[in-house]
Amino acid sequence: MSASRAHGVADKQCPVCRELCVKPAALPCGHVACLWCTHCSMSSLGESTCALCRNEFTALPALSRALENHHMWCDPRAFCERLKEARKEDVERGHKSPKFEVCVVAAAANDDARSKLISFDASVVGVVDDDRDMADVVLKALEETECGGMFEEMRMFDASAGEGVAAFHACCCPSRTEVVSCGELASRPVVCQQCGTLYERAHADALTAKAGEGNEWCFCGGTRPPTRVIFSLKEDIESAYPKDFVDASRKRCDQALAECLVALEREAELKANVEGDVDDVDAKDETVSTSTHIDVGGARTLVFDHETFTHFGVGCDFCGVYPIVGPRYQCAECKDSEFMGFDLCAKCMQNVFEHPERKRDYRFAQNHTDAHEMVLVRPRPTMVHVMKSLHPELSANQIIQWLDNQATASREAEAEAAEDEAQAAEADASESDEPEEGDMTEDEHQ
Amino acid sequence: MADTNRIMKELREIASDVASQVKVTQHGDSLVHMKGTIAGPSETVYEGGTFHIDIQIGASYPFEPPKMKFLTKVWHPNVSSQTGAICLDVLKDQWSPALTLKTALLSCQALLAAPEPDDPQDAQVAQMYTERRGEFDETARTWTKKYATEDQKDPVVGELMEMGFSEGAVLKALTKCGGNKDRAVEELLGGA
Repeated sequence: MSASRAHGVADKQCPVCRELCVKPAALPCGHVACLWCTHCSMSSLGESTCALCRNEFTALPALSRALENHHMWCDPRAFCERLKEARKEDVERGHKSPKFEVCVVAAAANDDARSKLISFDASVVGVVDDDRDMADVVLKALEETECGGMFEEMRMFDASAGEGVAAFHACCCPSRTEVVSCGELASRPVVCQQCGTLYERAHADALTAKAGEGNEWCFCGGTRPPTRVIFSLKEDIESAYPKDFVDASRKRCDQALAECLVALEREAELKANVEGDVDDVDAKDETVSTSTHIDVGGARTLVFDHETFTHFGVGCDFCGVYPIVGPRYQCAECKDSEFMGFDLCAKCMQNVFEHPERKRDYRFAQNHTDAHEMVLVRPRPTMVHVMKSLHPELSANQIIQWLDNQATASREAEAEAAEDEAQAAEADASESDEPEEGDMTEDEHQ
Repeated sequence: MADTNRIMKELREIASDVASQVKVTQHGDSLVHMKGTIAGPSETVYEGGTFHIDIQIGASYPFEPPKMKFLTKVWHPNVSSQTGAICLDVLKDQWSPALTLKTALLSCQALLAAPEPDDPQDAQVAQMYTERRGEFDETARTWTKKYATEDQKDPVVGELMEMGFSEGAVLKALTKCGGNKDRAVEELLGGA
């Protein structure tokens, strides 16, 4: 019996749209929801909360390839059918989702990996531009029994045999040398919030502790800590693989990590010696002092500068932070050509400057490239910004509520005034009617 | 546009769950305007009542809460005795898109069982709840009997209302006089 049939997709529903989650993104609390559902449920004004546990978070998490592949492995038919629907909905709503991709571990494990890593390739699916085509290919393949390539491999992969780890269940932490993943089973799976890559919890913790708070720990350049353990995935992994295999894999992985940390330390020492030669390309050079002043009457002048300005409703397309607080860079080309536009926060803009060679997965599938011109956006204060700086103790939501109440009140007052006017007009009309009637009767009398 | 797929799914789920004390009926085919029905929680003053709740679903549902208000008159600190407006956090800032019409209705049912007089919708009712609990219980029971049961018309109330008194005034007078019709009339006339 194929292992894929042992795991249903019943528990893989998005808590928001209640459909099978085909574009899964994991929140810091470890809960999984669709990328778009998460985006839509986020507050454009400040901190957002998880739909399930109300845990606060500030950035849109990335689509997780590992989770996406795992969901497909669990039930390919249901997954592909939902994928087609989701694609249709995307087109209707003008959304651009990243398309389905086969999960590849950062760099395939080398021969040193003590557990066999089963990597799948997209050969049978080939190059398809659209998720709908991909789904069609797979659905067709499900009808015909004979089919090679990625999908068939994935379908036939039997975890219960304990012969190897599927790429989408493998921890991506660097092994002995920095470029090779340990490839062991992520039995307590967490993902990087920046790129959605899967890690074993202990290893992600070790890497973040090593990097120090606020520093890059993931190979994608992510600085935000990984999510908590994703329990739905943990349960699946534990039930799919034999117990002793899970235990053995965990042990091997711990060992690999210990070696890796030693290697990293040595590297850091080397780096410390050559430091000083590197001249930083500082993105801050660009932040010319273009602060916006608003005269609110009286002696006070409100100053909105780049460093503290909150761009309500605009998120960073790389780290996902939403809304962007501080300098915001907008792509001059995507602004007009893309329905969604493309923006980066200052930190990510600097990252692009410093590491132009890195391959970046942006949140959505805009046609943006790093060659596009990015323009610093001048703060455009709204009523909410003005109120917020006058009353820092109020939350943005409270201000919106207040403004809303004001608007309703003024609308009501206007309506009332209009009504009064109408009544007055009516009264005038009836007054002017009366003498006419009088005239009429007089005429009749005559 | 609201997520119609999700609303349909929710309605199917509610319909298939026969054991549940929550029902939702559509007005025609509309997925915007519906009517929810909850049973009064047992061992409370609302026991035995059937409460109807008006549900309006906004365009950004499930990212904004559905608008709910009681159609059935309820005597409760967190429900307006006049308009039926509900003061419940999950229907306001504590809404989460993972909540559903069913969970929202269940929250309303739970609210009936556990009033929050410190965060009142109807100040008059809340005051009575905290200061004159016995009277509150009596009124709530009378209202439940009068408005929330199938045989809705209490003949005494109907009779007094025919004399030209408002429902609320009649109920209040009856509660005050322990259900004695003649004394209630005196009370109503004296108060007028």
